[in-house]
Amino acid sequence: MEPLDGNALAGVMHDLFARDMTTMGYKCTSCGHTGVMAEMVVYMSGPGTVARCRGCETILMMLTERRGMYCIDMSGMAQPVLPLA
Amino acid sequence: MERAALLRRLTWQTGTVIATTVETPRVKTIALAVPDWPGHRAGQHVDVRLTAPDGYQTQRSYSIASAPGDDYLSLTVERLDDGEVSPYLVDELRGGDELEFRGPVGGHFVWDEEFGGPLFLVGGGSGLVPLRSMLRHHRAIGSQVPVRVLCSARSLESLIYREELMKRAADDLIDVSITLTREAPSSWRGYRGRIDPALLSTAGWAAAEEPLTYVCGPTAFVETAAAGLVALGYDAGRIRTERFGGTGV
Ligand SMILES: Cc1cc2nc3c(=O)[nH]c(=O)nc-3n(C[C@H](O)[C@H](O)[C@H](O)COP(=O)(O)OP(=O)(O)OC[C@H]3O[C@@H](n4cnc5c(N)ncnc54)[C@H](O)[C@@H]3O)c2cc1C
Ligand SMILES: [Zn+2]
Repeated sequence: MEPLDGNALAGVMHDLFARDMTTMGYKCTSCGHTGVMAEMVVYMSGPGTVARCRGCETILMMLTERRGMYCIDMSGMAQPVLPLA
Repeated sequence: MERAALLRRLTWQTGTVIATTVETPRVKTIALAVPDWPGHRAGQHVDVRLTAPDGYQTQRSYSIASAPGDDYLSLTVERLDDGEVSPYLVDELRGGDELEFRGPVGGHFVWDEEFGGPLFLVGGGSGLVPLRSMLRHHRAIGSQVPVRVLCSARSLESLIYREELMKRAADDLIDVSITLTREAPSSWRGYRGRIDPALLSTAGWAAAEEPLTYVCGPTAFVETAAAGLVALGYDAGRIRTERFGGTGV
């Protein structure tokens, strides 16, 4: 399947964080690439979403949904920087 | 950041279909009346949610085709024959029906006038949808930012917003280029074939003019266009991209 990008996560992330998150800056822990969430490489399949670094494919974020509850794991993302809302 | 279970904070709302417009044999624009629409920024999208009689739900993102100041919220949807959601939106939805969605969302793939220009809008297939919102917004606010638009479609019949694009091309500030990738009428005087650096450089701005570029369409199209622009010396920081999934145009 062709990947999407972080723009596709705008709705669910806005739902979870009550603000736009696609302009959130990140620095990849593996390759040092910096960018914003909108630029991540995103694979969505049913209840599971994986976001990878555009520089090196490292997994930056995983999002799973079960019975209306979301579980979010941002272990690959150092220094998330939130822009002004 | 730590693992955390979180609650939802963006609510679903309902719009009523006011009209549907046939853009091409596979594409329709759906105009929605939405009570208390908060307004949007050109380039944003909504998430549409369908619920089956048995309660099964599924959702997809659709860019907003209308300008912030337009009367109705419009979406333009291309039917994928084996798709779960798009055939319903294109073939089944009728005036008076209700549609559930949440939004507007997205703060990256948006154009505000203060971002400046010159603007280069590159769209493949239905990737023209958010770019149309930007073009309409540009006109509505009387922006003086010069714009070049490059559209890629399989054939002239499958090019969405054809008349509107032609009309806008009469404006001195707006330059529209079209490339047809599969078939072209014998009288066709536009471009042919898939986008590549040569076409991007002819239809776009010189890198030295520091253009602000928006690229949208099928994933493979966006990758090709973005790589081509960087190869031409465009500042990657001034190229914004949005991928719809699927392969080329
Ligand atoms: C931010 C964003 C904005 C979008 N805006 C628009 C829009 O304005 N108009 C619009 O028509 N679509 C838009 N899309 C695509 C849309 O969300 C759906 O993916 C599309 O309508 C297909 O959904 P479906 O349920 O019909 O097909 P699915 O059941 O999801 O997929 C059917 C088959 O088509 C393939 N496929 C999935 N997506 C595409 C695609 N885009 N092109 C080609 N093949 C694909 C799948 O791999 C699968 O094999 C947008 C996507 C994103 C992420
Ligand atoms: Zn990386």
